[in-house]
Amino acid sequence: MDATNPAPAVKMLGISKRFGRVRANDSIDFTVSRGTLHAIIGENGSGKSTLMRILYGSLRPDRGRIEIDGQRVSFHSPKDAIGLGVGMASQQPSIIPELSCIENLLLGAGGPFLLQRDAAIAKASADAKRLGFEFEWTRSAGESGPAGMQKLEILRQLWRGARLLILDEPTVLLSPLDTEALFRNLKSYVEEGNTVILVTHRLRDVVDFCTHATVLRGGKKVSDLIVSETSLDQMSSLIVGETAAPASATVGSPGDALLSLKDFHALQEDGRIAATVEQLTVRSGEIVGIAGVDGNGQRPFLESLLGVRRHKGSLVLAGTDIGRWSVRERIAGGVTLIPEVVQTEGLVLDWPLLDNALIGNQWRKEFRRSGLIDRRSKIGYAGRMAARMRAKVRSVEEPAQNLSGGNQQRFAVGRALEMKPRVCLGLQPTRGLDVSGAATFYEEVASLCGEGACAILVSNELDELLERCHRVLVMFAGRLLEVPESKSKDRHAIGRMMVGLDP
Amino acid sequence: MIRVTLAIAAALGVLAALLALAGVPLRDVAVSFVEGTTGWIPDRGEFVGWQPVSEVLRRATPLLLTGLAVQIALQAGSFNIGAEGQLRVGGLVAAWACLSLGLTGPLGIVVATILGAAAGLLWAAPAAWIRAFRGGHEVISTIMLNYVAVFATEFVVSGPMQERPGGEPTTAVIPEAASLSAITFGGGFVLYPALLVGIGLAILARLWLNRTPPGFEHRLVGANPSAAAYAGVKTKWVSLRALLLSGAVAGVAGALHLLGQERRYSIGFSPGYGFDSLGVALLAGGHPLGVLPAALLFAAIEQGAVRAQVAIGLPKEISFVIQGLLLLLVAYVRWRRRSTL
Amino acid sequence: MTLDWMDIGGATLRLGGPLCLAAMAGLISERSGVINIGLEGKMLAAAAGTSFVSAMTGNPLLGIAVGIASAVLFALLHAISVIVFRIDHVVSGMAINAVSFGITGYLAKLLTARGADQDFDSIPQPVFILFAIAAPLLIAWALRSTNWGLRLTAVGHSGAKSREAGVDPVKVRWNAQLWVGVLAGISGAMLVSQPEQFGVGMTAGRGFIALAALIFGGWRPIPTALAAFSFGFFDALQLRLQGEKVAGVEWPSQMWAALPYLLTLIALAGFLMKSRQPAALGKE
Repeated sequence: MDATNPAPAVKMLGISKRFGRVRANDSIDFTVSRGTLHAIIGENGSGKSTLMRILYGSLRPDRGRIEIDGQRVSFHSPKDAIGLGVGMASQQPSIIPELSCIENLLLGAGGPFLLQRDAAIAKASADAKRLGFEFEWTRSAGESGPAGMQKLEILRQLWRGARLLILDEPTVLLSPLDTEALFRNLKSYVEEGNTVILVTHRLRDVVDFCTHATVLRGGKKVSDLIVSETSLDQMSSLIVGETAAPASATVGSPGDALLSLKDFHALQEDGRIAATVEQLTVRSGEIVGIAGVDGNGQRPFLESLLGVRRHKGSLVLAGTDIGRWSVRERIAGGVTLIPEVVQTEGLVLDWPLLDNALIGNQWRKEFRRSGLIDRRSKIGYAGRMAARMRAKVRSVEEPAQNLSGGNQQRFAVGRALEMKPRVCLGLQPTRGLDVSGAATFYEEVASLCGEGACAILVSNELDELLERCHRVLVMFAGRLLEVPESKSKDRHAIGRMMVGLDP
Repeated sequence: MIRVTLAIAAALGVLAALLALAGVPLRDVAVSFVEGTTGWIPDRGEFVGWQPVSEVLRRATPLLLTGLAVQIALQAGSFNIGAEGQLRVGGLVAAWACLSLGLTGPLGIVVATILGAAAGLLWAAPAAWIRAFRGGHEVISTIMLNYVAVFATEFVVSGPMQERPGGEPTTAVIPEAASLSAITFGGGFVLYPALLVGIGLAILARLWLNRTPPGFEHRLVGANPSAAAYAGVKTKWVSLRALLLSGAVAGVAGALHLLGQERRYSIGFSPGYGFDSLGVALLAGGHPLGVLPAALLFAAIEQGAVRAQVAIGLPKEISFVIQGLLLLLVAYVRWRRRSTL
Repeated sequence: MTLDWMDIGGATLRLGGPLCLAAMAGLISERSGVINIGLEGKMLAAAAGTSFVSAMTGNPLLGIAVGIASAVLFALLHAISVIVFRIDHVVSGMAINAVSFGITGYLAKLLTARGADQDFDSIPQPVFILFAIAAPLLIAWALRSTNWGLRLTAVGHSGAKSREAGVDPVKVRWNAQLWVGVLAGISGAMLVSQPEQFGVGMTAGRGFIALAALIFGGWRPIPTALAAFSFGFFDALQLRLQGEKVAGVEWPSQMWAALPYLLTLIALAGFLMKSRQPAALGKE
């Protein structure tokens, strides 16, 4: 990459990539000029990460061409891309926790047969200073925690001399202070003639730090923007495709207390506290949304409610303390959890749907006839499950892997709803669902709640929560926080709470 | 089914190619395999009797039971390489029950078998516990337990339970009244009751796995442990139970092998049934009843190889080559990882 | 009771050497994330190759070369099975053991049937012993100080992440299997250098003891080598303690034979040390 070359740093033309039936990228044209901080924005599943992984060589496009500095390239693996000065820090850092920090930098960097640890540490310390980071180089990377590994991932690209830096949601795990420092330093980095592509759905970061932005929606490019000429509202409406309806669409009003928690702590395997809830009462008929940045304790919290994780403190369901109940007893008592990734946590992909229908229901008597599990009742149930979320299913005999990802999600969500829970827990229940699927889900949850159930839903889609839930709470740094009454519908106030600032 | 048949054919094809390369007359090999396993002599178009078929059934009996044992563990996602050791202790304990407790008659046979099952279960217990609660890989621990079983049983039959001090390392022969004798039909057809027990257990296993809640949980843990945990399954206990059950069935295999065939425990009690059983279980795939044809195939290969050694001097070790190739090719069609790489 | 400790020391090196070399082969395989149950088969192939060719040509070096080549061949078969065809590692290893046992047994019987002379003159034992001592030291150094070692360890913990970092995990694992073949090959050659004649199934579970040493040593080269030599020591002791009394009791020889396996079980249960098992072992 030559700073005086007039060609754009990156030019991607007609990029298409399918995963099964999903068009992740649909003939996308994408150009980035040298020396800019360029954002790619879009909803979850809009194709941002896929496009960037293609640029980094870890995915191969089905169609399309890529030019770097005006030269046509064809990457077989990230190694080829790294050779041309492309570096990518992904959302799930590819840092290996068992290796030391410096070994993670050295890995894959080529270099002579003998490892030059000391020289590497000297250079790495200098680079880290440039980004405002600090590391203990010889300690294992895992000890520095998720945020440390994220920083190491970014640093690795710089250390290797990347001149085109792709950052995929880099700030999700970082503290506001680190984020601020990172972007300040990235500014001077691009001024030296380097290029940064920032993948994000935090519009704040785009407005504050980027010069250009490209919007993707449903695998297609919607627009190229110059950030200084675009308002936040324009950007967000381009992302969702229409001006988001601010209206609340909650149904019914909550009744008596159904689930109450007091001094509740979800625990890690080793007994440390993963999430804390001082006080929470969810009433019958109520849908509670939990907003927060991923990894702030939402998952351990819901898992401890289901019982797959231990907890301390009081957990009362309809007047009965269920804290000592096993998962099986809680499921029988009406607690159900929609897992975060249904493909790996909720389904057996090579089993037929009718066996998948039985997962979680295996002890229900209605599935047995004279003591043995009965095929006909499985068929009936699987059909009702699919129908509830309108999953497109040809036959309940076919294996779950024949369904598209979205239909697998619908099927698994349908199973949880068909269990007619009293407490419906959801970890990102609408992830992977399209707009109509998400709408169906919330209508079904509302109708369950209309019959006296309650729901606690964790989601990254704050607008969705604000629209569909009776109230929204925030989880930050392992604590569940109440939003002050006056700001309960204020997305900016909630957004600030999500990163640990006052509302 | 078609793919497995193709895999079997491919394994035989590779072996034929190897033998042809070594200059072995393939036709003679094929003829002695057919003769040795069916009793039909192709050259003369003559049927010599049921003895070869009975012999295949005899060899298939311990393979069927140990194969079933391995498969039960496999269904819950565990490899029980320890069937060999569990079979041995099961056999030795059954011998002890007959010789020292003086068990005889149908009730004695049942009690000796149950004791054998208990011995197999206990022998699998360390591996089951290490797998479920200490995170150690069951493949390694069961292999270790196999060797411990070989040495421990060798010690017992060359000391405490030895037939004659200073003699061969073997127990005494159990009395006729305590053994599960084979039934001889007309034409020399011999039926081993243990084979029927094996088939019965396979049917039971199938029913349990597919039609009962604990069986469903067992399969769910094997297929997707995270989904199982969310579905309220105590996954650690289920994998513990899986290896214990597997050990118990292998123990039954040992007890019945002793009561029905060997009638004494000696060092040569098992020529490696426990090792062959992995191949039988893999070949059977996900169906407990599939162990019957798989065990018959393995038994026929061994029987055919023995016959070929006698008839044309072909070392019978080729049966291991076939079994190894079968294992690879069958694993290729049905036991592959969904890799992320 | 008197024991000739010099004699036992020598026997420890002779018996522990093949275990140590095989354990190093297992270590390189497992550090790259590939489970290796097939050490036994590779050692057996190497022992047979060394013995047959040495006896036929009268040239022990050529014999060793062929022996190592046979082990490499089986190692590459394992690589094809698990890397290319993604067969379960355990299954592939068991299959390799069976095939190797079958082929070597077949050839040995054929040679006997033809009345071929199967004795040979091996190269001196101390050469092998030196190698068995040097190998773990070299490997320990290579794992800590070279790019090769770093890549191996990284791929063993996560092939997917290593790929993102720009390392080709497939290449690293192929390379590792090559070394597995070479080391297991030398181990087999050393094993047959003492009786100077091949016997059917002569490894008698040593491939599995080597695996035990590897786990006992927590996947680290020096502790693994020490474990292998201690197992060799138990073996040497066992041969000399038969019929002797220790602390006034005559211990059965089987107890000594079973000791390495029992100790490994205890190690597996996690009572001895923190496990450093490669995170991606058998999973990718």
